[in-house]
Amino acid sequence: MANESKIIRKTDDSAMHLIYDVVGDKAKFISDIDSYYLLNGKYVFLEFIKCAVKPFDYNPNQNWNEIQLHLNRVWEFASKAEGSLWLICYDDSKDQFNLFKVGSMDDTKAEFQSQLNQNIDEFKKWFQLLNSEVLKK
Amino acid sequence: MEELNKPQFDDEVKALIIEALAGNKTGGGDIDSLFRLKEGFVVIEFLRCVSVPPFTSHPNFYWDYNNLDKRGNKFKFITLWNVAQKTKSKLFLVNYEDSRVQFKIIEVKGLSDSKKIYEEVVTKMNFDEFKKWFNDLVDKSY
Repeated sequence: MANESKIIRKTDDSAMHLIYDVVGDKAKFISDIDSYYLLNGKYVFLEFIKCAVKPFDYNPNQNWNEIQLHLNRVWEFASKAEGSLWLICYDDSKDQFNLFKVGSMDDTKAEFQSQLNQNIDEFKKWFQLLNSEVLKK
Repeated sequence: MEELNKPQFDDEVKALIIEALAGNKTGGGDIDSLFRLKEGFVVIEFLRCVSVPPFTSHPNFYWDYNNLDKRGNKFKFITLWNVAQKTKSKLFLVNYEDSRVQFKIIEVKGLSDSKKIYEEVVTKMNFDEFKKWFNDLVDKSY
């Protein structure tokens, strides 16, 4: 479907070519972790979701079928790490970033502890602050 | 037609992270492939071998190498090991090459800052063996 939102893999092109050579189209069922940080002894996981609608209008629960498999895995992994998980919803224009902090998740939906609407400057500030706090340690 | 069947590759998350960090080194890590099996998670990091064949290469040989925009290989391996330990996951490093001739699978069993990777189980594979191993992981992952 042309209007599907999707989870974009972070894995570099060379490794992605290898994965497609090895498993073909099954590659879309393989999950990865886009980015994670260890801050004050707690893990923070970031999962980027590319939106087919404007990010401020995007609700992960309304697009659940497209993202459920990967998010369930990442959430379970983050939970085992006793970490937090943020969904970073964006689109090509990069003028809107909709951030969701996951509070809980099951097979049918996610519940969110907090949600932030940011423009790119605000997102850069948020992300750079997280990164700089990690690097200080 | 052949063009249509080509998979779409996308480094855009990586590009977005680099743009958002505005050239600062990242303090974070990432995971190339994550499998959820009944017995627990499997974390896989792919290591592309360019100048040394996969069977000969080992992460300990380039442990202290630093890319300008990152915190270095040592940080990458320690970070992966720590998150794998925390989540009770198996950690596999996969040496591969563009020619797809040799694959060396390194299951990391012991790693420290000072001793590097000091305990491991190494399995050398050809392409067909690697395909079988990796497809098996995909099929078992739920």
